[in-house]
Amino acid sequence: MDDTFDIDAFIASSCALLDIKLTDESRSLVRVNVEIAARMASMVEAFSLDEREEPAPVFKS
Amino acid sequence: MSDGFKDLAANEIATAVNGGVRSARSIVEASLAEIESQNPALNAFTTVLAERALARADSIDSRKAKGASLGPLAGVPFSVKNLYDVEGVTTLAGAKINADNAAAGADCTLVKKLEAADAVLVGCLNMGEYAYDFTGENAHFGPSRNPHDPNHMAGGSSGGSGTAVASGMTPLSLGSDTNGSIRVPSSFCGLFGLKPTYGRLSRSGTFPFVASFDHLGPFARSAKDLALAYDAMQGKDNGDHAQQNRPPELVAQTLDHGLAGLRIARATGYFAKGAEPVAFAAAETIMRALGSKQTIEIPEAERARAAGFLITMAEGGSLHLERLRTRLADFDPDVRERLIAGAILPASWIVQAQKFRRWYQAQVLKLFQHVDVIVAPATPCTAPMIGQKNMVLDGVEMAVRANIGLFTQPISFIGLPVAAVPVWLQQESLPIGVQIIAAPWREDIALRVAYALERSGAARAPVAKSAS
Repeated sequence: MDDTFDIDAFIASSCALLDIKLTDESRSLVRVNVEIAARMASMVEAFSLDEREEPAPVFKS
Repeated sequence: MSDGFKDLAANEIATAVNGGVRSARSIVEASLAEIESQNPALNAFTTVLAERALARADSIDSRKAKGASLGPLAGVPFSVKNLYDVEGVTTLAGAKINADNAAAGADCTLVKKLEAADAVLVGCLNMGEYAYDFTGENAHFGPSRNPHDPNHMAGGSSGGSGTAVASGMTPLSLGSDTNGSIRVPSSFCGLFGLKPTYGRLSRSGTFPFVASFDHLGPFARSAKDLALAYDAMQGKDNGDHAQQNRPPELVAQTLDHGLAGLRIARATGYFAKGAEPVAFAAAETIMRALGSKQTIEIPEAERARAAGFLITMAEGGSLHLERLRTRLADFDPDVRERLIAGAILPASWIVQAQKFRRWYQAQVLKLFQHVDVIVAPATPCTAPMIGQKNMVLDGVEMAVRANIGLFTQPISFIGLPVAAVPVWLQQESLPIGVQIIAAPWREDIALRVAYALERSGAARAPVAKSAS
């Protein structure tokens, strides 16, 4: 996420896509949580994984 | 009125009822009396099942009178987090929204299994909304209070499960643990708690949160009680796709095998920073009691926590998407925006987090070639005050709700079994927990160590004095 990314626009359009009707009260708090998630994601993405590494959800048929 | 009931461990009750020293009815009546007396101040229960419990107790006494042998939990009152289905009770999962749902048509698997062992369900317990919580607070139903000081948090999300057992209302309770929700209330309320291996116990008939990480398990005031309950709950029931098809591996009979031969190390690095000194002092106390000075580094634990955080947000947001569309105003405000944010996260972040999870699991499993037990703090602090929003750890101010589980999340992220053990340090007015972490499917080792610590006095779980 670079400095020019418009996080408010992302939240507004994503919520519109999912039909979540955000209130003004919620908007700033959603932003705080998306920013936390973005920091977490940058930490995860900074780690170099083998592209053949498979996801780990536990499901056995 | 309670006739010494409050201080009795579950195994002592079962021995007394099996031996004909006490009737199941007298025990259940004592438990109900404690609930009536203490619950108004502590707010652990959302439903009390007096009629059902007394009928069940009478049935046990009737079988005893006819000479039948009773189960290993004969007459033991227990309570369950209100995300467990109980026949005739609406499964709240801590949510006002769920109060509109129909009552459950049947008991969930684990309630059936405990009652098959002749335990007696006495009620359903308060919890953080939809289990997205480490505090035990709830905007709709009020906070579960810490029996050792009711101005402090019980911990969450299984807050009522901690409150009920630490106060002596029931000697045994069940909770769920996605990122720490058994281990955190165990730490704050000073209890023994077991989060088994992911896939060990059936989750069938319980309200989910994060399918990738959801676990169920017991709280008690002794390691032996955890073992008895855990043994009674093992076994495949086909209702949980994630449950592994393993035969029961009973642990109660191996509890007293001692520490000989166990390689024990304290987690360093991530687990040795970012907390109040009391958390590290508790872990050190446990290491001294175990006679080990060995340390071990769990690689990339902070990144594991970040990945777990993302998966939790996304799976939680997805689970509640329809409710976010239609019932937004009815969510607990402390939960709502976390779920909305989770619902809109880019999918590639989540897939990458799951890929990292696979890598991390492989690295951590290698550690168990060198150790049998890893010791780590359960929480970074003792129980915060109810209503406290922020805390300072290692000089950094952060939100309480999102960060109490920073030591538990990297462990449940890959489903390792953990026994939380309670430590009371001198000059501390509140307890704090330590995680006894074992390799997958080695709950027997975690509980053996917990039992040894209890026997040595290093870990103990007294009923709260304020509740005496």
